[in-house]
Amino acid sequence: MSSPEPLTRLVRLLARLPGVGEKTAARFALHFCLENAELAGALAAELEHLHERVGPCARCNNLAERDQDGALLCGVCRDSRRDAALLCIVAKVQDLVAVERSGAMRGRYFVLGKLLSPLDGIGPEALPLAALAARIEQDRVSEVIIATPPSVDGEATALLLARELTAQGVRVTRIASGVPHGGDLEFADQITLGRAIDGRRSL
Amino acid sequence: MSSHIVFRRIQVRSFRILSSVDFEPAARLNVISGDNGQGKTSVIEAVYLVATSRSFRTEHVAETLSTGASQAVIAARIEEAGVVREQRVALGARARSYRIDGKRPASLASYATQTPVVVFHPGDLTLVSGPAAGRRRLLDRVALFYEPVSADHRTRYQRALRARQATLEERGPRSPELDAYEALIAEHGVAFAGYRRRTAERLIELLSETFGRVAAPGLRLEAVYQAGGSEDREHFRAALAGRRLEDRRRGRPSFGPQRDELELALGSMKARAHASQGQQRVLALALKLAELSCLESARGADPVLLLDDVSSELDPARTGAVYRFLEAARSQVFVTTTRPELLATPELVGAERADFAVVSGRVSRV
Repeated sequence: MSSPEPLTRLVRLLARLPGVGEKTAARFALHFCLENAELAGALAAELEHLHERVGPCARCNNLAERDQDGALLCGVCRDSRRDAALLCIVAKVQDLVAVERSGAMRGRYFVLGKLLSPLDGIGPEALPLAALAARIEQDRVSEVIIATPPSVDGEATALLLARELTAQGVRVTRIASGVPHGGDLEFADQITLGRAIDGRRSL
Repeated sequence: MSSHIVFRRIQVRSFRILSSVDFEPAARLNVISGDNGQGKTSVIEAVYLVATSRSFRTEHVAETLSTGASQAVIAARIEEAGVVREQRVALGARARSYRIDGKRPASLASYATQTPVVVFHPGDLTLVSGPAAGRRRLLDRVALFYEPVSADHRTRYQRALRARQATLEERGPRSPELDAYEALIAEHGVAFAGYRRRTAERLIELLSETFGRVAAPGLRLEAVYQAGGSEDREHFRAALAGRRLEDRRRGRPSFGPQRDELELALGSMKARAHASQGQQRVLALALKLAELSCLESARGADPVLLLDDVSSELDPARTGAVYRFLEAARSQVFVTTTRPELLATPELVGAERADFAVVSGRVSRV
């Protein structure tokens, strides 16, 4: 059976989305085609202008909506109640969203966009270190919280940043690694539990 | 007292020559016979794989798929202390999945330590005659049962080590990220080195006992563990920093547990180079028996034994020792052989022994 060429093209495009396989893509495409032409139009309009309207924040690389003057500044950077002297460094926008959801961060963010990964040819010069240094200088940041993931490359990036930033005279902290709230100790993985014990606090 | 582990049912689909196999083994001895090339070894390889997540024949599990199949599935019903669980492995060309009672295990290490099995097969000879990597793999497998977290440290250690080597080779010995990766290598390397040493100490202790059981009297075994790294974090870091130029030139890291050796000597002569083939076989067998004792004490259960064509590798006297050992062991055993008539077991009653014939990848009860 051969389906119309535009439909095949659409399926192929949809199947490139994360978490979407060939079958789901075909289901989506048929839905747009047969059942919900309106949704197809609305989606097309949004997608067409997405990159004109949304882009990386000029100060922290978080996602931001472009204002009338064409400037890109995200909600967090525009929020004057935030403590500018406290800066949280994360690897990806998704991580920023996760930290933000916790409600525990009252400062601002800096999104690296990538981690060191020598096996993929990513070295320190690929990290936005100059922009980070400028940001710290400008905002008179006094404490940097490094919230890169606890993977090998995340830890190596944290160590590299700690060295560079300490030289710049900033207080550098690393988010604690430990047991999830509401989790049972017996189910925690052992490296996490070991680190939780290393990083214990007195009561 | 250790508990009993018994495979009650084994189902295999599209695994090597086994297109569709479904059988119920006996609680003690299972004799799998057939001519060469019919799939005997594949049957016990499937049992090993569903228990450990790995194959003892290849590092590349994808190549075990039957020709033309997109997925191989091995499922086993396993009884332990009166409770039955199902373990299931699905292998695709790229993806693999592991399930215990339908649920994804917390980690691959936790899956691999559920059902302890020990395999004896002709390739074991390289444990003695081959490079140190095979002996390190044996130590790591045993360490998993004593200290499951060793696998996490090993994985992270190896990843950080590869990152350092790539940095050295592509960006030179002064790159600032080297300090960061070396700090991580030292952190995980110290933990990893500790697991290796403790495991080697346990294995060596049991090895001298198992060797005495299977070797000819008067043969003296010396087993020594030589650490390639350090258990002191500062020493580890300093050693890495001091070897950057050398490691870059050699194209591989020269310090760390990846250089560990389990040195085996018979009467002060290195077994790898100087032992006769018969002596190497006996030593390989003693190593496997020591692995068995280690798993038993660490896991508190009798490991299931898989013997692939062992009689072809040992002289008759040693073969006799193996079978006497099997008779004494309380474990469930799977044996492959081209000559089932050699395995007479009058002391085993009906339900304790089952005989299976393998012909062109099909398994049937005899």
